[in-house]
Amino acid sequence: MSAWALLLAALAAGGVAAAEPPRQLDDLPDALANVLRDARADAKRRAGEPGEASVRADAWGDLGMLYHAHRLRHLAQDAYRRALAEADVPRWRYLHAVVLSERGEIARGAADFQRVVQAQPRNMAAWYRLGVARFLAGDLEAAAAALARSRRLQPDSALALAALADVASARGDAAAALKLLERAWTLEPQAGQLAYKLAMAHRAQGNVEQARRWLDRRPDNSLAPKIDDPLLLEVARKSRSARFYENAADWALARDDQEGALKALRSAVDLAPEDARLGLRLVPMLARAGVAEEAIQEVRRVLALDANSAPGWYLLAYLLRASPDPEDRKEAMSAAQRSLALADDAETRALAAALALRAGLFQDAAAHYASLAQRQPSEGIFHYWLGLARLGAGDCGGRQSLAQALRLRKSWGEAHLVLARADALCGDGEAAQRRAQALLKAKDDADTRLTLAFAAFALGQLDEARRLAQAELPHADAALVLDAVAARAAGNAEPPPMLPFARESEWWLPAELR
Amino acid sequence: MTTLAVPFARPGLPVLGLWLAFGAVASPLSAQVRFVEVAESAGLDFAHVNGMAGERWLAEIVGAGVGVLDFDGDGWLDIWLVQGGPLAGRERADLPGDRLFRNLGQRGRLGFADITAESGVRASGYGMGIATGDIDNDGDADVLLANFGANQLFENLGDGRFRDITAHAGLAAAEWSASASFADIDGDGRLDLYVGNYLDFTLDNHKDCRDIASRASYCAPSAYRGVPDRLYRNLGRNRFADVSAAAGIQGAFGGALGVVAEDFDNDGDTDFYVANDGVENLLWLNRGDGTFVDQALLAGAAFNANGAAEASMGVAAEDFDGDCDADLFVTHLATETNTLYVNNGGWFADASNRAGVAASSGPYTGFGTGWFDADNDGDLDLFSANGAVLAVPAQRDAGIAYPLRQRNQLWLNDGTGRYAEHAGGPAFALEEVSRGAAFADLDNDGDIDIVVANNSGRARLYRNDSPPASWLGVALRAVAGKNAIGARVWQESAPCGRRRMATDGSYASANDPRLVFGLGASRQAQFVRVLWPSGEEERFGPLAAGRYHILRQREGSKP
Repeated sequence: MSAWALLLAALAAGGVAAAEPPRQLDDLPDALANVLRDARADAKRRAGEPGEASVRADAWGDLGMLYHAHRLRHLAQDAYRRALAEADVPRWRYLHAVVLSERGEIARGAADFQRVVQAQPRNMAAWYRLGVARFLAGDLEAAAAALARSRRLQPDSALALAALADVASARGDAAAALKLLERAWTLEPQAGQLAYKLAMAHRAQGNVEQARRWLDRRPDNSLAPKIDDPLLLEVARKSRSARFYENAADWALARDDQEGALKALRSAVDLAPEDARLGLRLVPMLARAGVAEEAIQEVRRVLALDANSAPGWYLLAYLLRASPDPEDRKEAMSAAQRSLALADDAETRALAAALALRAGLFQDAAAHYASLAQRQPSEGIFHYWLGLARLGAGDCGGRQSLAQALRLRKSWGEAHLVLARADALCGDGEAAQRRAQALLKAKDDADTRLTLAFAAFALGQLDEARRLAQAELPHADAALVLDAVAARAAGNAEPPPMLPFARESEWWLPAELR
Repeated sequence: MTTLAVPFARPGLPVLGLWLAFGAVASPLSAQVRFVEVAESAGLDFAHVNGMAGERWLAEIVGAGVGVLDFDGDGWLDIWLVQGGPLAGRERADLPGDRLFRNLGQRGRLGFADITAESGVRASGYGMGIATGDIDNDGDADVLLANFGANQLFENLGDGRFRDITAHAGLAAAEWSASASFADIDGDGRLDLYVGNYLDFTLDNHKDCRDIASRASYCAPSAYRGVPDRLYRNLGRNRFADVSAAAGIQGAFGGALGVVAEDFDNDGDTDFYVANDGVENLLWLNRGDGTFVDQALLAGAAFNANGAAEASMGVAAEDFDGDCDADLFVTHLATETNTLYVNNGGWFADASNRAGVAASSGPYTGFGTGWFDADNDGDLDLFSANGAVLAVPAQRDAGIAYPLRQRNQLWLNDGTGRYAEHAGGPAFALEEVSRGAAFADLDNDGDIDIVVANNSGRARLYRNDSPPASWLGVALRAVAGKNAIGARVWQESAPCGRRRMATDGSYASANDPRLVFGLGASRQAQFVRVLWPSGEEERFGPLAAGRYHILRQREGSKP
């Protein structure tokens, strides 16, 4: 063998080794690695069979799609390259170009897209991607020409319009850019990218106020308009991975497509039922979709997988919190406590506090709210509920908490009302009356008028208290006042402690339970 | 080394510069731009240790930077290399630390000597970045080290030694910082300090992260919370006050990796641009009353042209298009492409594609960066120190233990503001995990050399061996008790080609504060204008080409 032949043989051997080094799949999860090894063996077998070159190309191309779907782009690129070495099939050329672009190889990608559009002049996605690649390379003329072709093929593509607007902007033609973007926006108003581009186009024209308006109007995403790309969809479907479907769910959520997100996340959970994290993502989505029973089932399944999941117990508590069934409510309280024992976060503690308050466990509720108020002293809401819980427990110190809530939010009507009743219950009828009268000027409703009744009762004006309460019947708080008046009139020296609101009143329900 | 005369000339004095050697300037010069890697032969034997122990701690891949400073005032730029070391178990006594290399000042041959021990430099933290500035206006460069943990401030004692004055200065905040910038925010002549803080990552809250194919990988920054930056006001006598809250910058949570000071809105005071990793960048405009307001979004500098936040790392600010305002160049993650923001008088347009810097940067993750005139043809070229943060597949498959290596990139400006990548010689074909980059004329030959700090690798010194072209160098000295950082200088013949005296920008690094103007084939003496931070404008010249000149405030003429 000559030296040249030896060199060529060595290079060939090196080439094979480089294409399939032993470590390529080593650090992948076993299941995926096995699937890919099998697929590679199958591709080699198919490519080795005698027959049409296009069939051999398909063997490598299919393998490339599988790699591509799992974001193993370097392997995908190599497989597509092998496919193209067998036959120059536009579909493999296109995907080769896409994977090159995804790896940042813009110029090489553009060369491939160019060949695709020559073979498939009606391939809108290829024209679009060619235009973008040319634009990235700074070739505005070529970019404009390719993007114009893509627009002709799909006149209602917001994506093509936006890309043409980019080219117009780069040419300094902000007016043209604006026009194109406005049209794109009418087609896809959920695409945050378009609003941003509109803002910048206005900025370029010196219209700062309009720019500001578009920035304010911008959806909370930087999504590009959609592209109709059947080949890439085919690639994506090949992944059959939970991660893919989870990503799809995220994209759907970003587009505010709740239904699509739910569907995608259900698929993710089906593919990776052992992944408790995915299950926990699915639960609130099911709840939002109104399938509470399925959500509860799912969270119970997650908790069977991981009994130490604090978010799992929280979700169970949250889902059961509104159930009319007393057993469910009891289980909700227990789940919230379990979650708290695992991770003491404000959200869970607030739910536990709310459940305790509704159950009449005022001291427990007060302890929770005291903890929350201590951790977040600037949150008036925690001081408010602490005050109410303490009053429920017969502790007039609740007034201090309410006063603190009002220091943080001076014009908080509800807190003023509760404090007025608290003053009445704690013997300061005059303060209660003053506050109730002030409230009445702001809002003349049954709750406020009954607060006056509380004040009258505290001042010993039993007839007035009775009159005011009777006028509000059948309001439950009116019955509360009338019972107290009756007890006092009967000379009962030690009437049972009076609550500021009837037990069934919605005033005992924090936002977590509504 | 003092045997050589200080290579500066006072304006107006007769000079015997190097320009006599420039009789045969080739044209076009750019085709012959060439850098040669000379770290070993120059004695710059520094290897960065990132402390990786198999956990994939995020901090491992972020450092480190490099600073160039003339710490001993001999007119030759010295090099301070920032070290990491182990992340866990730092109570050891034999930790590797930063090293200070003194430039031996040998004309025609770069040489450095390690003088860390005698200089008193004891960098005790896990280092990330460095910022330099004369905080006490005593004429020498002091040093801030940005650390994974508490930062350190070293006062230059003026006798070749440094002293750690962190506690006295009040800069001992424990956040993870990468880059910082010394700049005068209130016009009092003292350098204040902006510290860019990164994430709330600690070894205790480390997370195991996986890539899209479920392989173990370093976490994305989104796995942790961004930490607000800090702004310190220089109170004098080496003391600083944390004015972050009062200045209004405390509410913004970024993940800062790069920071640069400039007057972006041309209103005469110092603003800051902060490159954040994965979230919107910040443009803090100085309101002139001690407070700042972030206008990045409305100014078009928060996102790329698609309104998407990118993984911004390094940043450079220069008036590259010569229209009298500071433009921005920001390096990014592979596939995002680097971004060139052109300042259009207060708002920025993403001109990356048109300028030719987008497509070629696609495969690379850029960190340290800077605008400088590589071929001294009068326009500003660009450099990016690259290194991946996610495994490069081919390297991983080949069994390389730290598969983040990439080559660095140089783009040459064709004189119209359009860039084309240039090989720059075989030196730039070297694939390493580059992070910091500092730009300095280390051999005082009038062209800019580059020092690159590599993560888990040896520092590199790229000597600029391009064909000589004519140049003019200036160093600025403000009046006693004031600082010249932030002064603007421009050639009278090109009134809008303004340059700013600064050491900040790039990534975690500090640059040569002197300014070099490439003159191409022209060997004519030049007149330059200086707008001092105090607002005074002066004219200096004629200044002979081919050498450095010290321009002292109030020694020029009225324009």
